[in-house]
Amino acid sequence: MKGSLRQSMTWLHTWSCITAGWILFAIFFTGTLAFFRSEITHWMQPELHVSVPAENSAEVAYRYLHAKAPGAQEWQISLPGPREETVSASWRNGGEDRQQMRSQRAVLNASTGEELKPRETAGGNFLYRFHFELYGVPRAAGETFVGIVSMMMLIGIVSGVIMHRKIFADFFMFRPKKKLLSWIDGHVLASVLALPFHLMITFSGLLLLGGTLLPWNGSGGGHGGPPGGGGPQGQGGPQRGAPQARAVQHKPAAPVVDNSALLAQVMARASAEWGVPADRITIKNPGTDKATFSVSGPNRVELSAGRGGNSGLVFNSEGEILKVEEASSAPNTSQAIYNYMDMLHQARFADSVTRWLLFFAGILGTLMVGTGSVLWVEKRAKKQMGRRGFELVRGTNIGAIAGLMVATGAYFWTNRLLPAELATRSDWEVRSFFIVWGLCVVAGLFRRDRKGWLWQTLAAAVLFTFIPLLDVATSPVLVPDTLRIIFDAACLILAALAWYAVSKLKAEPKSKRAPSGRKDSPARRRRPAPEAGSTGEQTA
Amino acid sequence: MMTFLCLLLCIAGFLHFSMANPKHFRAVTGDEIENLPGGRLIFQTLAVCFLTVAMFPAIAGWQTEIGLVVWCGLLHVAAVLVSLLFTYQQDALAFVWRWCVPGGWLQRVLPR
Repeated sequence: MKGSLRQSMTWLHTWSCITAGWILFAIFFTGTLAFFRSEITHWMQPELHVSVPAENSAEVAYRYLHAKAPGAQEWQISLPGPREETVSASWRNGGEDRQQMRSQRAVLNASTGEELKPRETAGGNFLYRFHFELYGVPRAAGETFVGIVSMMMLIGIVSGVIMHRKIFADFFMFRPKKKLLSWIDGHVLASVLALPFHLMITFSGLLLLGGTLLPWNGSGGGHGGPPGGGGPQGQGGPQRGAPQARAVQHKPAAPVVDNSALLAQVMARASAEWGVPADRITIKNPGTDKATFSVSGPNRVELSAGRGGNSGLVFNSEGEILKVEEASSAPNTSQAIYNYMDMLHQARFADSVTRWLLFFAGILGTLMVGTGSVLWVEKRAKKQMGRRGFELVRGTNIGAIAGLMVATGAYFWTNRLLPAELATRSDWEVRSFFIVWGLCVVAGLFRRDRKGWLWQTLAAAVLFTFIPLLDVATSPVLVPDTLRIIFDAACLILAALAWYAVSKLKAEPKSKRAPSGRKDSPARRRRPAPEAGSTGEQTA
Repeated sequence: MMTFLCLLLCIAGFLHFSMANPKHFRAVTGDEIENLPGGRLIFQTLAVCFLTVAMFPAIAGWQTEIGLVVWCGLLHVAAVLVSLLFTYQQDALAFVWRWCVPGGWLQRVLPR
């Protein structure tokens, strides 16, 4: 590393990103898909597709709990919403451990109250967890590794901004069919146009994994906190694995009062208060005249408040408001900043518009990393072709980028094609993902040229294009619900990107021999010839 | 509705920013921006105004904190759209510039 500041930054940008490029691509790609984690899991459990949200969803859940857990201390009903088609019912008898709590939950058909038994699947959760703790390695090691590559990403972003000489002059510049220049423009566009998102997602990711990178932090740290807490979030409330306050053991008598008629009333009251529908009801002392109904909903207006940023209403068994549970607020500025970053990174607040916007920016981030890795090869192709290190990067690029898309497509196909009753089927889904990815990496190393790219990109395009058809063919419900439509639409977007890449991979050799005969518009004819050095990129 | 309005304002903002760039201005209009005294500054000022005003529909729809996130997300979409229009639909962009945004109107009336 020597020379001017810009040269040093170019060197830093190149080597900090190329060494972490493949894993960064996987993190960005799976992380982007994880914005639709619930939708993916819903799609991967066709047994849930029969559920249709209805006006009386809360009542059917109430009747289920009335029959299933009459002596429980508390009932919880999660209602269908924009990201949920089913209604879930859970109960607490008091004093259970977390494992028992998990087993005291049922997923119900939202209109009939029938208990649904969805197939075992790794679902969207696999993609979500893979993007910050990888797979098959101890959680702490995975998080530390992802933390380190996130740091390299942040270095890459900052150095990339400094090394770019004409960041504003080339803000909207894309020159197609110009080989290396097109790759440079594509990389710069994907990076610069969504720079605020890239900075936010990388910095907030680092913040969430901060505990794993601080050796003096005795309690460790990480995404959502390790056993025992860690990270500022720990100050706000109980953490995963934290000692639970043991509830007083007491068994109320079986329900004698039917409060189900009150549900619609309290939900309507809460919805009118907030302007958004209620999505969760907690009933304490159910079935008695001392029952209380805590209603909450997606009424958050602040991100800095963190996970407790939704307010709630508590009603008595007469339907009168007992208490207004105010949204919590951050106790100090550092906590507020942490909360803001946490909420942004995990899109916990996001409605459908915001979720799609984050998905779009995530795709730009994925393209940024992918085009950067390809650009490294394209820049060195003439000089280093045939060298072992260069060929290794060239071949691995194919498997790491196109191969990951193929593996993800195969993961979804496997979910629908494996028998629903197969033992450890979620493990087989994950195995299929890694087997296909591994095969793609090996294939890429053997076939490192344009054909290698073409075959794998074509495979990804075909897999994603036919996912909506697979969905219709293997779901018990022919007409897709909103969540399935969102999933299918996201797959078609990925398919469109893959088909675009396929068309470019097939078309480019022809353009070498004969220039396109397309008639240029007058404005295009006036456009100046591109200058090789005008992007401000410098060859590292 | 607020999303659409915010997106339109963001597109208008980035269109003005891009037209303040001599290369893009020449490519779309066939003219030199240097021929318009103060043209760059005017277009940049209009761009900043459009992008700032675009915040308000987002804040009206989602309140301040989440509204700013939506605004930022729509900035990305608008920037990509303007870039794609420049690359693949320059004629359409030239039409929009000439007839639909104040920068294009000013370009015709500003003294040279």
